[in-house]
Amino acid sequence: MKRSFSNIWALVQKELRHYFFSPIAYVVLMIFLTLSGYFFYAGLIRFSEQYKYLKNMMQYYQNPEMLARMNLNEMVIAPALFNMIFVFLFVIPLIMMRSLAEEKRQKTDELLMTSPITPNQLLAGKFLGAFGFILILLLPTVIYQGMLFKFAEPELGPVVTGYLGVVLFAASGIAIGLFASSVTENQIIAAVVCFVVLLFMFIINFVNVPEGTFIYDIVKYISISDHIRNLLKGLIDSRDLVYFASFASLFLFLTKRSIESTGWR
Amino acid sequence: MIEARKLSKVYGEIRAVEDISFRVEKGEILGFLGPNGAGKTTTMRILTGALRPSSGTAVVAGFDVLDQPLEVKKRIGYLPETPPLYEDLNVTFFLKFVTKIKGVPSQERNDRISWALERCGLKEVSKRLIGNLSKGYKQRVGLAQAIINRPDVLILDEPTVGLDPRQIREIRELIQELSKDHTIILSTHILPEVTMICNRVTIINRGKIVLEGEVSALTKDKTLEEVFVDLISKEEGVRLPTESSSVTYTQS
Repeated sequence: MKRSFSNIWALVQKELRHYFFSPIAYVVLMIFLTLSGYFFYAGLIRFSEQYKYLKNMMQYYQNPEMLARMNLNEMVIAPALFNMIFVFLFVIPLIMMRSLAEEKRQKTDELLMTSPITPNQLLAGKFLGAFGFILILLLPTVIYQGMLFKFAEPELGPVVTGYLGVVLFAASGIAIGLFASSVTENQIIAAVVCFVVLLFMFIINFVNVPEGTFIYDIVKYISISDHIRNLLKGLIDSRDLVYFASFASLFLFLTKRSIESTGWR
Repeated sequence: MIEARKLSKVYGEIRAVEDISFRVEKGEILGFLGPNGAGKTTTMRILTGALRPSSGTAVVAGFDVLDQPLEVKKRIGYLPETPPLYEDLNVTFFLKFVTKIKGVPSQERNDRISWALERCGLKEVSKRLIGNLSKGYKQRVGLAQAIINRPDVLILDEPTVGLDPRQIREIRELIQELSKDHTIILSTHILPEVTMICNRVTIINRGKIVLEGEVSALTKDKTLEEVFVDLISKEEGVRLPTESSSVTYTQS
């Protein structure tokens, strides 16, 4: 037990080292922070313009009810978090593409396969390494929320569940990325496969299926955005948690199968 | 120390390795020879526990590779044909990572790393990124990762490729010295190297063992190169000229 934990930890450290000792980490950090910062800023400015306008109207009409609709959580924080997920759609394939593909291309998988570590430990190390990197990526965005809490009074609950949603989405994306990276030596192919699968899960609910039919239920179930919505609203539904957990486990299982198909055990 | 028992590996239609059995005793250095594509790498990968044989089994360092691959992997060092190196890590970090996944206790790690750096002549490049090293240094880092956990069994696939003559001599001396407490399988195409450092040779061709014996006995009246070329050409049905042989090219 202790051995397997220290193996996983060694792999996690190695993964983080790879990210920060290559340009990928910095390119991804730049893309992600620029875009998520931009989305946050744009949302906040729109909110404050609208607020000023409504405040004038309220004084004019002497109607204090008018400002009740203005909700910082719903109008700024939730969209900003959703946009972060949207940026992840592009960024996760970039983060994950080298993960296993590069091990195969550089033949370093030979070292892993002849060392006393199991495929499960390797997967756990790869997964947690990427997950750690995502958390580092998300850390600066907490500052945005901190500013809101300093100058206004948003509710804390939806912010926390919203971040939970972002993190769960990232975990599913990492699992897909690991799988894509395990089936090829080519990083570009790995990135494209990961992106296409993620995008498909994202946009599947665009299709117009009559409500109440069997297909509607399926589409609704596999669509990522439908499961994120509740979390962004501040609702923790066990069905959503089960969805993300099963999503990630399915792809981790497929990855394990793919690794083991090389004869490794 | 190493015992292969009727190993076979079949990839679809291709029989990479067929019914190979041999033994290597503790302290011996076995030269494992054969033309390219003969099944050397496949056999060695089976012995490391990384590859499951189609049939047969092997016992390495007292453990069966089929039943207890993890125990085998703890006790072996393996240098593949392409050294498994992470180009974007520095030498020390990489070796530290290897000690961790090989299960070297944490209090011994630094000692093992400085020992391996010293033995493989890597001290002056210990902080450099592996990707920026020359081929010879990379090869030595590959050797360092193989010996770092002081394995009972060392499996080396062409360890002196890409090294300059002085380094080759150093590595050979290192291998000979290691053989005092390690058992070594050495695959190489440099036949004089085998004559110099190996006790025994096994030659395989097309997945089968075609010759086994003591180096001293085999090289009594012919060089190992003549033995090898004669044997392989006979197998292929063609007799190729060797530098020292008087036989000219004839189709049989």
